[in-house]
Amino acid sequence: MAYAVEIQLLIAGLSNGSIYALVALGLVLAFKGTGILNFAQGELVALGAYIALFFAVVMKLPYWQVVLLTLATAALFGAALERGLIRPLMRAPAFTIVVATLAIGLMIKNVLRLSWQESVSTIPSPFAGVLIRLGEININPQYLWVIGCTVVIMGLLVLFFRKSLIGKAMRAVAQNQEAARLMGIRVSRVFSGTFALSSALAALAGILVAPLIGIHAEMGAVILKGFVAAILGGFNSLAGCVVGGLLLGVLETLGGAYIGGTFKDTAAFGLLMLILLLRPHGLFGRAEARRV
Amino acid sequence: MSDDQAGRFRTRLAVAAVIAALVVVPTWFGSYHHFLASLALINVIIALGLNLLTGNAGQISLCSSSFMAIGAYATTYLFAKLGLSFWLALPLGGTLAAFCGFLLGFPALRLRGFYLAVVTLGFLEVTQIVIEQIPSITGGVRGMLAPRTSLFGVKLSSDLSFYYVVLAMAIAALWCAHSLLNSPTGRAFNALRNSEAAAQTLAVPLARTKLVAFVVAAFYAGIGGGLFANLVGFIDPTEFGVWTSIRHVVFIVVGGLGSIAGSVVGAVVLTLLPELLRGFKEYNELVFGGLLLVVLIVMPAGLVGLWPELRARFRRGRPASPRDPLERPAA
Repeated sequence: MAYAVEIQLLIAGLSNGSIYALVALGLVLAFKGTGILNFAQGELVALGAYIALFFAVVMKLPYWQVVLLTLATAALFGAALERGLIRPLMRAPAFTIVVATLAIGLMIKNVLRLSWQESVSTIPSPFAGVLIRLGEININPQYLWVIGCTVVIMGLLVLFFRKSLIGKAMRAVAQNQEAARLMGIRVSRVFSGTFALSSALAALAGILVAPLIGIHAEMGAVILKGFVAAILGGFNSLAGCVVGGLLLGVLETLGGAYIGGTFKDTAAFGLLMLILLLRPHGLFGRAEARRV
Repeated sequence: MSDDQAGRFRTRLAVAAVIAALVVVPTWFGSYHHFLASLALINVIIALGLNLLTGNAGQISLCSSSFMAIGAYATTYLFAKLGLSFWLALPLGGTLAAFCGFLLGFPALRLRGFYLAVVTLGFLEVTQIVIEQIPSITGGVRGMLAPRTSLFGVKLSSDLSFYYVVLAMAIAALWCAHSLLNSPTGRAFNALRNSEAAAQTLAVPLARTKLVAFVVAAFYAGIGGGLFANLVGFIDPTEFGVWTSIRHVVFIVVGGLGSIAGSVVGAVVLTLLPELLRGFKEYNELVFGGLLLVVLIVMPAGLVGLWPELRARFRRGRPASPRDPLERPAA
């Protein structure tokens, strides 16, 4: 087959992109819902991976239980975080929010580094040792699993926001807090729910990426890729996040293979600069008028 | 002598006394304390620059450690590998950092708040990668030795002699920051922070003022980086990661945003404090993060903000605490 390598790279890129998309989804959900841009989102990814590590290695639970329990724990943590530390800052200016969420991330990172110092640092993948062969194409099934999970989550999120009452309440709060409050929506609960969801998405990214890159305290650096994906997508639509994430993942992987490793590492920042300078409202967004 | 003149005389006397103390007192202490004091003063220089940019001009920057890195690597490369005089290499390193600040300032002209934070975070990441990718100049991940410089043919091998160099630089930096804040440009910084639109209607050149703020902050950090490399004797990219940048932000937030005294107090206290609490070294980030959160929520004006607040409480029985650290009238 002529394009075997290209197809393998494309799948790897889509898989990386899916992770970026999940991070971006968490960022944008929280930002749209509460006006807080969470600079600790990267550390929430790492936290999710460590929680999964705990369930898998210490409790020795099977994979599917690990996933469900991790998502539930992460959601609880997200809600607690919102209630305890984020809510006092809800109306604070951008600078305070940036610095405060960075501080939260720093503390999470420190705790993670202190709490797990053993050598085992990845969760066993359910697909360990399996390799899918299609003619000349070799595919790591973990890649397909990552892509599949992201697609399913995306579908579930769309259903959640369209059909469920909680999802509708979240959308209402994102549009207009005052009006939502007047309609009898408990805005503070919606905030907690939003952070729970956002934190669970981050944890899912952590679980999915762990078998590919291992678990370490520096995993949080992925937040930058999440930012780029979210900004590519215009920072307001969930579909935009996914497209932005996949685009970034594929570009990085293909560029890294054909141009060089440095390109792979700097592509995200270059793309970020281009987008912010040329189309600050994202690839699909519209410019907003600013009230002075 | 009028009251005004007397007041000015007293201020000058106090400044002279403080400088004399800073010169004399260290001779009673040992080398380790000289090293610490130099580190604190270097952090003061960096915090002064960052506070002008963030506290006065209102521009979020999470990449002060990158400018520090640029200054440190450029100075060390010019001095140790090209054999240039350190006293030429240091300002050149600072200038290179300032130039990079100028370049970063351009996209920053169009961005505000969250987006600016993201871009500066991205810039930090790229600087790290570039340092790792050009080992012929920077030594890559393995780092680079930075031999101590000499002055008038005398090698400044003792930490005390180098402390005096850093002290002179810090005083110069302080004086420059003070003059800048009292100049039209400094007042334009404060106007910018309070309201860009209002500043613009008052004919403050928005783009130029922001660029100046970025350039000044980057130059300060570059000089600080050059001195840091020479003090420590060895640099590698991990010194200049996001953690270092956040520490710089903690300096100015805890000290007091938009205040020169705040930069000095924050940098000195938070450089020395971890040394006193050395048993808790592994909890460093936890302590700094917690401190940052508490200060942001409880006392947004920082340590120096406590003084007028205490005085106000003493006089009127009621604190006058503003909520937003960046939207407070210029002190």
